[in-house]
Amino acid sequence: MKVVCSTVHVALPTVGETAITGPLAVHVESCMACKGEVLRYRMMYRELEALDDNKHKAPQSLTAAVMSALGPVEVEALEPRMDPRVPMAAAAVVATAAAGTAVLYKLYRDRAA
Amino acid sequence: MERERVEQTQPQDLVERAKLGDRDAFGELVAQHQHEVFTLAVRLMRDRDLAADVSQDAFIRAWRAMPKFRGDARFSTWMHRITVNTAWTHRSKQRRVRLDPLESLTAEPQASTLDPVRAGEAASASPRIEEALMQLTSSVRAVVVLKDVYGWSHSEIADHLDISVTAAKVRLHRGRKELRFLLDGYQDGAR
Repeated sequence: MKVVCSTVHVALPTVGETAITGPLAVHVESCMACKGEVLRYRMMYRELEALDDNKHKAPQSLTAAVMSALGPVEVEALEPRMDPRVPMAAAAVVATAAAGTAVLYKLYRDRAA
Repeated sequence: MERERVEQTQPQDLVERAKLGDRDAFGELVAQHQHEVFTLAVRLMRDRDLAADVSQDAFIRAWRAMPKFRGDARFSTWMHRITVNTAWTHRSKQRRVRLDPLESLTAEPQASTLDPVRAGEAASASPRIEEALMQLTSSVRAVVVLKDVYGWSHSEIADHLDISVTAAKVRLHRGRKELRFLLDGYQDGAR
């Protein structure tokens, strides 16, 4: 194998569908072996691309198996879960306000008396 | 035209309903996408039983993550990503189970452990290219499949397989080269 042919052979798996360019392209044009190799790679890429349409049939039980294994959807994702500190803080605010009101009421009553 | 429009909007409607926790809508999505998810799983796992497990897990993961699906990509594209991640998790688990300290000393490369009968099953109803793909090692095959069959970019492949972009490129080069020679073998055999 000529040096330039081996360069083409090394380049072909890298370039993929992109055409070989520059001096290598000039060589490929004049070399039957490299031309054939380019063609074989091109066919391989076409076959690989076509596999996207070639589907394996899933087992009949797959859908049923999936559906029976489904748990509840993540509630936190649907309704953001409240931070547990929020109700505690709210309770503390209410308690403080109630205590303050009671103190003020007591002061008011003492003064009125 | 009208029919085409209905076919295009229907999956989106199913996705929206599934995001709100509608099991029937999700079931319909599973029915619609099961074959393509299973196909990708077979190509990654090389075994129909494992592929069925991976497909099931992938759909369950998708169901759990449905509310987070933003719809930037198509549902099928999103499912492909989940399937690849699930397959890779299964593969890592398998390797951990298989490769205990003693076994790891005697473990052989994956390509040589391929049972031709199982490879044939995995590639059932498939052209010779699929059979040739099944001969590649799983890490190389995954890159070739994702790049040349599903059209993923090098960086997407690297992200999902947890490898560098350079490693993805090296594996792709090696995989394509091996595949090319394997196909030569099929041609010689056919003569």
